[in-house]
Amino acid sequence: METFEEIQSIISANLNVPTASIRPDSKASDFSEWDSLHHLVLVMDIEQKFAFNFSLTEIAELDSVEKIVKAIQKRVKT
Amino acid sequence: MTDMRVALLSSCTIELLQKPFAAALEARSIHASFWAGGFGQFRQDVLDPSSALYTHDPAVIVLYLDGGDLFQEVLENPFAFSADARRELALRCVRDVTVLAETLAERLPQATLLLNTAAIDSLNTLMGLEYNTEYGIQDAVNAYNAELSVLARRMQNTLIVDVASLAAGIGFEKWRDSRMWYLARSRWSRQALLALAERYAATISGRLGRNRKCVVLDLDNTLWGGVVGEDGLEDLRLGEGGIGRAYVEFQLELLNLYRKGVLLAICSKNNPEDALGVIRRHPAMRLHEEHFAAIRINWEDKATNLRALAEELNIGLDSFMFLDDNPVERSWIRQSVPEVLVPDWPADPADYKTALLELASRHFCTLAITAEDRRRGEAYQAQAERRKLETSASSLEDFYRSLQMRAKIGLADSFSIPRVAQLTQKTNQFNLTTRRYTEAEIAAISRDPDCAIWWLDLSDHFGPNGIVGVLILRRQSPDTWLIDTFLLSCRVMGRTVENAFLSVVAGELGTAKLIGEFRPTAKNLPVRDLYQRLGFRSLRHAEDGEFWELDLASTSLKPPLWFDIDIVRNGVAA
Repeated sequence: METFEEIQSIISANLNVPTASIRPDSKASDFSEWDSLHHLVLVMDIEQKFAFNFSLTEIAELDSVEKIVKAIQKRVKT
Repeated sequence: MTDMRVALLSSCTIELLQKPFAAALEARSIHASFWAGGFGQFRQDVLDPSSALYTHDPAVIVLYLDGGDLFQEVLENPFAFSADARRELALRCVRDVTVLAETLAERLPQATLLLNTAAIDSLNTLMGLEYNTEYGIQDAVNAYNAELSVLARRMQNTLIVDVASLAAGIGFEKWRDSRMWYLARSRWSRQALLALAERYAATISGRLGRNRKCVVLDLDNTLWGGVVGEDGLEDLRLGEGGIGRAYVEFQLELLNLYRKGVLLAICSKNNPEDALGVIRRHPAMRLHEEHFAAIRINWEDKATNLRALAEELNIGLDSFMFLDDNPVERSWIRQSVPEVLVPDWPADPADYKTALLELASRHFCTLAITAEDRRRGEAYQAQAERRKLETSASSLEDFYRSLQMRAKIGLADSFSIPRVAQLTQKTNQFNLTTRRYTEAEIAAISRDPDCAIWWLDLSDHFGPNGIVGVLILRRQSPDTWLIDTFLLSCRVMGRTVENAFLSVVAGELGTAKLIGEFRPTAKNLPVRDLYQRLGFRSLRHAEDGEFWELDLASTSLKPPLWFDIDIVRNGVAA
């Protein structure tokens, strides 16, 4: 599965929103459900899935789907 | 599903606990609706009679106070506190909690309050100064926990969840996630959240009286190492040294479960005399007959036996936890009696005791011990002795099908001879004549034109088992064959492999007469009636053996439908 699709399904499950509503250019601010606590759950689920940890600074900066996908691709060389 | 309202109050951010907590309760058939108090607002939430806590009307209130929050000042600068000041701080914290517990008991008399023991990060400022100087802070933590225990024993509504030992078990460096602390004032890592949720859910389940009640145990390679029917009592791994000690410690822990009021029962495929012989006479056994509320040692399938045990003990199947080293038995019970809890079981006996303790913490969360608990096991046992039981049929066929058994059957050649000889040497239970042959003897028989040595190789959906069966035929007259040897490894007994094996080999003989021989030994009683079951008629019973006959001209044997069978000729499967 593409990184984007993985992220899409994790976000959709976490925020309880339809998969299709999450697009490559979606931002955290597009979803009222994406608050600071959901953000942390999301981060923990992504870390579990891809088996690495973001840094404190990264977590604070990951406010869009694009940034999340890039941050993962930087760590997980395929 | 039971609905339950739960309130979460905490000295730190507790919202992240909600999702794993809901899942852990759901797994115990409890559907929770949560209300979480504001960050650090727990005092106001409890003391203010108009707070939303009381509108939520919870049945369970989790009040989580983290050691890092309670002792924050001391941790920041331990050198500013005297021993007296630390003690005063600890007692003030407990007085604080006591007021909250008493207020809740008055305003929500039906609700249960869950408090927690405090722990502080194991890596902290003190290090070498902890127990060597007056600045050590562990005394304050210990005083706090000790006073909490006094509180819980005084207050009916209050239970303590030992978070300090839970965190120590996981390891503090894994318990904390400093990123979550800095970003959200949450004290836990993902792993800690899951463990904490599970512990809270188990405690609530225990409080509601919904624990499992009975551990049902297999014997060979579960309660002791080895197979008593094969190895004999003397050679079992059970004792003070080496691997044997692992089984002893597993038994000691089971014995402590018994002392906590949990029932123990046996469900095992053995000769009853062999297995009871070990229980009664093995010097290293820690569990004795009187510790078992009920015992089923026979060759029937275990699902039938579990149903009988439930009836005998008069408890639901959902009260059982079934422990067995054999994945085939576990899978059979999971699919045929889904109410029974069948946990995965470690392959290494070194892990048995830990696995049991971990399961006990989740499914047998005892919160009190009464005199009745201590007597319960005995009471059931007495009742059991008065009762007579019936067995019930089950969908064994479905089970056989689900195993996807594939048998390869062929004549012995240089590749299979060593294994065939080994099986004749080692096999005791499913062995009709118990004739032992060396490799050289097997090789000689295989060259004899009046003899045939057949082997059977079995695979199932758990993987290959290798060669597990041997049939040796000797021609007595042109169309009469004597079954000199018929054996199966005990690993595959009770799966109708014998029916498949004999039918295929008989099919190769055409219209001959088959003579079956049974030579009784101390260990092969489970197959005494085998030839009768397969449709043979009795010829004669002598002291050293019984002889049976089947005329293939009038009776043909058919392999069970659930087998996929290949006959291997000249090394090639047909």
